[in-house]
Amino acid sequence: MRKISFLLIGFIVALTFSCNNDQNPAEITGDFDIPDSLLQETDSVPEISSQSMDDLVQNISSPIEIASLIKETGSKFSPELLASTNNLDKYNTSFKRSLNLGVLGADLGYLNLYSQNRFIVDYLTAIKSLAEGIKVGQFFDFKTLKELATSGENLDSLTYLSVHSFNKIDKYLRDNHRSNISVLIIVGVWIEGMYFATQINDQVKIKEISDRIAEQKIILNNIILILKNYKGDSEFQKLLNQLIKLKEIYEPVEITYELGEPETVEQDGVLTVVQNEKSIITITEKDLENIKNQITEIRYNIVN
Amino acid sequence: MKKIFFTLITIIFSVALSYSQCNEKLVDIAVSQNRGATYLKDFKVKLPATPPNSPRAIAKFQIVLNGGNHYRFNISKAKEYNGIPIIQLYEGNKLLGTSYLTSKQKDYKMFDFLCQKTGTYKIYISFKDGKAGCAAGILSLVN
Repeated sequence: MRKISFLLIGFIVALTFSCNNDQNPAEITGDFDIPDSLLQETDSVPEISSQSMDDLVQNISSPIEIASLIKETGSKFSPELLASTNNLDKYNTSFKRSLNLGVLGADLGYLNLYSQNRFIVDYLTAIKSLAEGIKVGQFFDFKTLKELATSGENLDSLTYLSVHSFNKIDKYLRDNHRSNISVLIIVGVWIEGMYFATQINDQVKIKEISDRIAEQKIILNNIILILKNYKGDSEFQKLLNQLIKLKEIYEPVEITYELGEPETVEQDGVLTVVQNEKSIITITEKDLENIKNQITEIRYNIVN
Repeated sequence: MKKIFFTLITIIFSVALSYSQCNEKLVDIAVSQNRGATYLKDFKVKLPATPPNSPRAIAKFQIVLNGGNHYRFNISKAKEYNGIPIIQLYEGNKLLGTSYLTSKQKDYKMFDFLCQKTGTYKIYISFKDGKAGCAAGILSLVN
């Protein structure tokens, strides 16, 4: 008996430590993570080039960044900017659910940054419903998120958990060849971010915001490139057409670059790199107005 | 005997689990070390050792950064691996920032980047001297 026990213990020890040393981190958690550089060699899904997909996914600005920029301008919280959570019954296809999951995700980022706890639970509930509708609800720890939102404490954790959940969904969808869903969520986040930016720009006229809107010309080109892979689907085609119209509106917007070498400075043990190469933006009030109108129309079609 | 057996198994599993960090926990650890900045993305990497005189393995990721933003890149390693991670930021082939300064032979847990130009950038994560390693790199927005 003693001999068997030691053998068993030896086996368990070997098994446990071999798992720790050899298994991919994601294999342990079910969130298999492969660097982009390796994905290019191994992932041969024909639906879309993995390089383009990765470019798109990593290229889209986080809703936190737009919300943060808006907050920095001193703009007060504007609940009227948010999409309604009362239209969930209308989102009865994966296409609509995915786009609106992105829209509400961007709204959640805005609410988090402005610490608007009274709205957050409502948005979390709507997000839960949409996420479950496309079978990715398991990536949201709604219980913890709701507890954090209700208590009003540790808002940093709430923001982290929210953003991290969306990142995990995106990774899961890409790894499971559901890139079409992932793309729609990202487009939803982007459209809502653009909606915030264009609406706020209308009120405050701050260069940082108009520059950010102008520079989205680069992102829009990526989005169109990716959506073209799904143009066989009529709903994708309709969305694509609206974005192509937006691209035409962006045509007069010019972005040029002033060259410069980066500088690295160390202060109090913190290493900071200052980029001295700058973008020079040319965008008119008319361009901004046209972009705002088109974004408002696209967003209206998504949320209604 | 049976009691000792189960106690031993429990201890072994507890030790093994607490020792292992090369999983999703590593992202939480890396984020917790980065107070004052808002998490945006994570880049989890596990790379094998590379033979001497061979180019070291590098994981590459593409991201867009927005002009006018103050970003932070920090990286944490799983303690069960010896490889010291290096996180680097490139624009095309130009190295912009790194957590390891060759000139000073000094490691930093993070570096900040004051971005002036919206565009596509690359993040490289590798391990010093081509050792095997597991790490989580974090991109955050400094508030």
